[in-house]
Amino acid sequence: MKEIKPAIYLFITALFLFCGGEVAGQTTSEYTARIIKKPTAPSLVITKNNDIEFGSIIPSATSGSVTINPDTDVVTSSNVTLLTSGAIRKSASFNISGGANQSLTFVFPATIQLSAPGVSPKMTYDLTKNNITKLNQSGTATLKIGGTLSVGANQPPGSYTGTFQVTVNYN
Amino acid sequence: MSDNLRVMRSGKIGLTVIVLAVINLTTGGLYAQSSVEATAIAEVVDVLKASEVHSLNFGKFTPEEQGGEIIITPDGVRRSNGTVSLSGGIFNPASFQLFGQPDAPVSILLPQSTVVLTNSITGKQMEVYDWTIGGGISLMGTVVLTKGSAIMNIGATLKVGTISDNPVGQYSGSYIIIFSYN
Repeated sequence: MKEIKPAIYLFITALFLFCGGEVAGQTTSEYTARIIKKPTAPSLVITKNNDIEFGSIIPSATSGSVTINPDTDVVTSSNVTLLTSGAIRKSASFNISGGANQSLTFVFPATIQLSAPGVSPKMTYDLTKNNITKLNQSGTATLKIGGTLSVGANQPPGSYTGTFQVTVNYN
Repeated sequence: MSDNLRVMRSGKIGLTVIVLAVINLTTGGLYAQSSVEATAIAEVVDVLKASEVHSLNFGKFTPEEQGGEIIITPDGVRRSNGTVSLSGGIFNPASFQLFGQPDAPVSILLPQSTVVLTNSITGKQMEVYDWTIGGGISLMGTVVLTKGSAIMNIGATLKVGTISDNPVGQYSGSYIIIFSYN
């Protein structure tokens, strides 16, 4: 994980005044340091609650898709059958903490590929997030990422996975 | 000499201020950005396939004067009641081979109404009912596809009329069984 550590805004100006004239054989040098500290928000932290899971899917002879709405967790599908046994279908969920009412921006890939060992082709997953733009008064928020998984016609069986990174910034 | 020392001392003070400021930057840092990695997971399973290995076959019999029933159990035992007299020859329960996702549970929906067998020459009919699956499961059950496959044996009961109701001949019909992943 790559972090930009110093979110502190500290400016240092040093004023060097050289009064180089010699008075009665003395040389004087004055140094002034001015430190200006800009008000800062608490550290911004994002932690993962759970990954996104599309569950067990039976493909068909026609390409199809599975979509998880990140705002509602409602699952819809086309041209595939979703198994109900042991099925856990849910958006990825993340806890965010930081400064109260701070606006946020998010960075994550629009699309990733899911692959299974020894299986081709891969599946495409288009990511979408829930409607979150800022932290609440307590300085917390929940980010959820759902989206649409495209399932190929007669997609080969396998356990498909893909990873993605989510970065949150103060706006 | 002392003047030079004063200059040098003043220079040290200025340097000290700068060093303290740098320390403050590194130890008091706050984070305006944070990242985390997540995984997307999906399981694509085998399409469920079923094929008939053996047709349901009640074998040969004679209704005699009153008729009755012939029962074939999923494990292949045949018996009769009424005046039905069983004869030799081949008889067997229906048998289906299932292929699909290893260890996936599959539900089975048997015919829930009577199935009619018809003599194609005379048009006479007999009824089949009380469908049963091996293991005491009836009408709707569940099996697990151990290693991706399973054999399902299905029995039923045949209603036989009198000899005039069901004269000599071959009776046949079709039925639907639904297999589906749970």
